[in-house]
Amino acid sequence: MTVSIHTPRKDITFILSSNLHQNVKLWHRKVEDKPITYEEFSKWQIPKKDIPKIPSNCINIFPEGNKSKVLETVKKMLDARDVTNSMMYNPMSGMYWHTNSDILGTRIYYTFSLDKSVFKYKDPNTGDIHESWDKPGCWTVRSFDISKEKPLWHCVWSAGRRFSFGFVI
Amino acid sequence: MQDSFYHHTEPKNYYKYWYHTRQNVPEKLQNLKYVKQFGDAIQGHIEAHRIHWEEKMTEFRYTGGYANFHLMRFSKGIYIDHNPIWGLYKDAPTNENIYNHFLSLSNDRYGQHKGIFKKQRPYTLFPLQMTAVKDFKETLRYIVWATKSKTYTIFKTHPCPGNDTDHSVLWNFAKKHNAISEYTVLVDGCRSQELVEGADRIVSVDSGLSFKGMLYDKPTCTLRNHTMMNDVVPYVLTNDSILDVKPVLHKDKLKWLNWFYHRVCIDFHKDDYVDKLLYKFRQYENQGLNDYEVHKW
Repeated sequence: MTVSIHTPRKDITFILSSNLHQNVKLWHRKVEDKPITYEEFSKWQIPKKDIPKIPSNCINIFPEGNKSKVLETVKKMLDARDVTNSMMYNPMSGMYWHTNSDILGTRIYYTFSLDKSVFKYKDPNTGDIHESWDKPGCWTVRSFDISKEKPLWHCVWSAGRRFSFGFVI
Repeated sequence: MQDSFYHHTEPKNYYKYWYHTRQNVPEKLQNLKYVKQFGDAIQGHIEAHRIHWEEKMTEFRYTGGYANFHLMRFSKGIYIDHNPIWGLYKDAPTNENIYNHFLSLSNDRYGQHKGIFKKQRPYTLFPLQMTAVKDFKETLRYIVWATKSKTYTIFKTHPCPGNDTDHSVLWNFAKKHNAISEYTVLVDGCRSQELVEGADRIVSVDSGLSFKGMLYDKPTCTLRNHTMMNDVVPYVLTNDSILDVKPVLHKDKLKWLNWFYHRVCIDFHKDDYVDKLLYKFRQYENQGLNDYEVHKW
């Protein structure tokens, strides 16, 4: 499998959940001005040139960004090399196709969604497009490899608030 | 939510906690029955950890109605904390039934003071809200502007006493900084109806009286964005643009009211409120619809 699903570690989700509560004022009043429907998301085409990163309306969950003590703690627990992001998707929002090719290695993402949300990717080996759906109200953990030779094109859409914490191993 | 600090009571028992935190405020306690009715209606249909009144990380949320508490709200949170300006009301019909229904209601979320205001001169109405906490800055900014622009404004005190709604801290601060003037008048102890009816315009941070303002064709605006009504009631900066605000167009008002009543509210004064609540829940749960789809016309 290009993208693997893992059982969330309870000690990690406990830390991340409690800090989402502490930072609730940062994120609970954010909404998307222009909603992106699933139908619109489905029409997104994979670009021809590599897009390592893509601008989005996601907001940082921690005011101090990736250097927050919480993320540093989780980084150590995962034995990760670095934190790549900690962000919230607004309801009815998404992130366009990109490859994350600016940082090579194995990525691991802890995500928590309050409504339906989907991680869509193109399998670099087969060229097939897959949709990996989050379960609302639960943590989902995915990992995948990023390499220059086989870029993993992926994009995200979320109907509700979606919290995403990324690490590179 | 998994691994939450929050203690999730069974929905049927939540009203006890709600009562406990509001027991000294009779203006709020008059709504206790609706909180209990809601809990009883949803009990057994959803696991306790998936629904909560306050907890923002919970999948489903519920709360009292905007403007009328008995028109309770239930969603995945989007029409509870912060409301998107998505224009979903635009496809709603323009019949006047719901408009007339609202005209027959009090349109006050909480019990009101008893006093009846007697108008002596034209005024702008500014309903005070949680001025001791989150609304302090916005309200102070308005007081300064009202004095500077000579916009005679009546500041109506909040009907529910409490630390958060205590206006004395704000008012004393404004006085100390010479922001209070002959154009800024505090009115305490009066109910909302005559104050709204007599006003030239309604300005607030995000008060539920915006609803009454729209209903009675008053130019109405808010100083905070993404409130329940910003689809039709404009968000403005605290400057002279306040004076340019127009009443909501009648057609838009009818559409918005129809949409709001049928998509956002569950009317706990109707016999079928349990059916309506469970229908909405099943739209999410069985049909797999999301918040946007459930609230579309």
